[in-house]
Amino acid sequence: MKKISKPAIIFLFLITILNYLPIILTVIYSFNFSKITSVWGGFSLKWYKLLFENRDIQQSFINSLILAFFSCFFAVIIGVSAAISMRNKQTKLDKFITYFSTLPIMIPEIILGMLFMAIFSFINIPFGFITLIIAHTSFCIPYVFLIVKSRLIGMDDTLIEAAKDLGASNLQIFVDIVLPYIYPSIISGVLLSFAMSFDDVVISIFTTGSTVNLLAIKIYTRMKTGVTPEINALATIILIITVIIIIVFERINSKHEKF
Amino acid sequence: MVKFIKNKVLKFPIYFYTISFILLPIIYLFILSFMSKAETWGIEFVSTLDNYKNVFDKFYLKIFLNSLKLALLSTFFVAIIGYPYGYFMAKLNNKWKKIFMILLMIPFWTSGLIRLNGWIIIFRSNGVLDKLLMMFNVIEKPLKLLYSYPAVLVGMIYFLLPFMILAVYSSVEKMDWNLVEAARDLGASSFQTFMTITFKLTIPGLLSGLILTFVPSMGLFYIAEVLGGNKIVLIGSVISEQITKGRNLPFAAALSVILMIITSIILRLYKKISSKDELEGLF
Amino acid sequence: MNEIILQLKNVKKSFNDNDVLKGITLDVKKGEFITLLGSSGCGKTTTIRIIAGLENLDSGEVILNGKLINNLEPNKRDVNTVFQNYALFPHMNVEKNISYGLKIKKIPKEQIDEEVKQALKLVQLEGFEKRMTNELSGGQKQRVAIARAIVNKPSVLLLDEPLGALDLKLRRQMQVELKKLQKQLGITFIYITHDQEEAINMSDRIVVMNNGVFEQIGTPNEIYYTPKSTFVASFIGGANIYKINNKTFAIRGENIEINKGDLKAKVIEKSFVGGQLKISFLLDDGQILTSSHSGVDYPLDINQTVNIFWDKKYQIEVIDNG
Repeated sequence: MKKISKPAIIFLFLITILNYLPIILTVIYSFNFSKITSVWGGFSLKWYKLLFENRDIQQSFINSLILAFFSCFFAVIIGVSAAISMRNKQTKLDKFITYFSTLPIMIPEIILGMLFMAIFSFINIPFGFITLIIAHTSFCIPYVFLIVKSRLIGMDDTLIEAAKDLGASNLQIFVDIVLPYIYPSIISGVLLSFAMSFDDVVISIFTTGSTVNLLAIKIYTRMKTGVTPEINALATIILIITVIIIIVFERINSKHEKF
Repeated sequence: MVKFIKNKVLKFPIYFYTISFILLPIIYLFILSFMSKAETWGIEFVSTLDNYKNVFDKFYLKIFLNSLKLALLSTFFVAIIGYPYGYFMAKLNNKWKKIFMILLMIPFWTSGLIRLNGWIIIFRSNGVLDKLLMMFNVIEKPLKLLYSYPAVLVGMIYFLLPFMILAVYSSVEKMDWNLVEAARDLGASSFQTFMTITFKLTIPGLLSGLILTFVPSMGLFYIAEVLGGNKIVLIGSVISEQITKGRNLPFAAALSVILMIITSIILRLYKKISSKDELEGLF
Repeated sequence: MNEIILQLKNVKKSFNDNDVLKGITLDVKKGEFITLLGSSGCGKTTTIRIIAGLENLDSGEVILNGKLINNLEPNKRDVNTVFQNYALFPHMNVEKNISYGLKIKKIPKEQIDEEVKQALKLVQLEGFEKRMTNELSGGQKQRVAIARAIVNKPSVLLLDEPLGALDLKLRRQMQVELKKLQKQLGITFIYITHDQEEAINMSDRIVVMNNGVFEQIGTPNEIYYTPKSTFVASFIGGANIYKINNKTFAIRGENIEINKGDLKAKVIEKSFVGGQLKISFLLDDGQILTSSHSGVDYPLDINQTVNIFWDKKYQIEVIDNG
């Protein structure tokens, strides 16, 4: 009954090709010698060379990495502890808090940006790394929290009981049993959060200060004025990084399924 | 169940973060929406309903409706393409399933901006699409598609499609195919089976997909800005402009509050209909 | 051999108004194989979870090796459990699973290796050290679960329907092995099952449980031949319940003889059940008795009236508790 028809396969391939067309074109045109996108001026690596000479872009790339790193770090601490604590019984208050903690990935990004912008200017925190990290952490938490929680739901309670029965203390249970069980989901959550933080434009625009340049914002401002070949090259590099992350993610996920 | 760690300690971080950085800001946003803008820039703490009255001003109402129209239109197309895609994908054998999953993940994880970049190459005047069409003599002059409504629509659909596919895929995956066999065995045609069994059982996935596309589409102003230039103004752009250029925070807050209310109504409805706490296929 | 290792004194436990244990008392002797027998929901799992410390009791006492352990955490009790679903740690291989308890106790590595080797030998899984648990069959998982528990040499080993998920043939085989293992190790076993055959085959003593109470405690022989109540009589081997003059008796089917004596009975049903031929008789007073015989048929027709007889020494008076 689970047969798939020829037209269905054609449909799948067609949409997939359309899905990839813009990406492929970006990669192709990043090697275009000509500055004008509509003209193919021969193969060249000059845009990559320009990119690597551009300190500004390099700095914003590093800034984006730092931001994503810290956001993920806090998201893991908050998200994992929350997932473990709310594994069993959830009180009404827990459900209330859960609802609001996952709101950042449910509401349009612009509202989140607005929210942080408003509150930060109200309490007068200088806009910069701190505001960015708080804002990014907010939308990283739900990814970690929900992924780890769904993994924990599948966990057999008797495993914890068995460990306890064999003499393990609470800390030993956490380190020996729970952590190994959820660590693939933590890594999945981190990778997803990392990608989301790295790519984010909207929330960053509202929460960054004049001192911190982020890569995504740099790309955005340049794109508003049309595509430059340099952006194509940059996009290609980011694409390669993303593909590597996904391969790692898939590896972990397939290990995940074995248990 | 044996508790292996004090729950209160574990709950503290999420409670602390959510209350201070989500809940309180939301309350502040709400209050802010009743304040007024100071003469120069900044906020005067004088309560007023003007911001909400302004929202229903003809100019902004039109933008609101335009955003809604674009969001609905994008969601519609996303559903039409995404549902069959997710459905067929779930029918593939394991090896191809995995391949298609990875093929889907790459765009999903890549920055939306970077993906939009490719559409600029395609749509721009004398770009790839124009060249192609002119080559086959379909058109004589460049179409000038970039900075037009269709370009924005394509961008939105393109950006949001993976959410729908993943939601539908995960609900079809969960379905028990024996039910389909049982229906066929009881004499239903494959079309009847689809309508009465498969479709019915995958409605939660579809609903989840609709929300995952509709809700963000209301605020995706940068797609409109990058692919639509200044021609297509969405509510997201208005909020952003009010903050960055107009410096009218109270008005932006009022717009956000309304957008947030719409969003939470939709999420509520989803929970009611599907009796699920979390959106399907989010992960 | 008569030293008492574990005592339960009037243990009570309820979950939300539902009295699961209504005051149970039991003395377990050292080295004994004792079985809690009862149908699902009778409270047998709760009993061993209380002994293991995985459940708190409402009132009563649990005494292990002379010490009151009511409030002792499970990890501090000299008791180990073989869980019904095995509860093997999925991310550890066989060796790591088995050595887990010993590692917690900080036993030197060489000794752990030796003990694990011994345990694997006992459960006949030599060479399986590096296997992951998901690569094992049901029977093998069961052996690992047993090895993981016995390697700690607990005072008492609790086994919660450990053979429940295995097929009949493997069950029989494991029953023999478990019994042998218990004798070899001399560890006290408290074993849970709902299978009367399993209980009779393996146990030194059987505790028949019903509805949160211990109906009867005794050797398999006592339980089988001298049941104290109608519940025990019918639960074990399905004895007939026969009433005369306000007294209730249990009579085993195999003790009923046909064409003998002077009690008139009409044959109403013949069936082949559990390797035995069962014949049901309707007596004049309306009671029904069932006899059991070897072979597949008996020269009797349905509705035929015959005389039946049993020796009065097989007629055991019991308490009528439904």
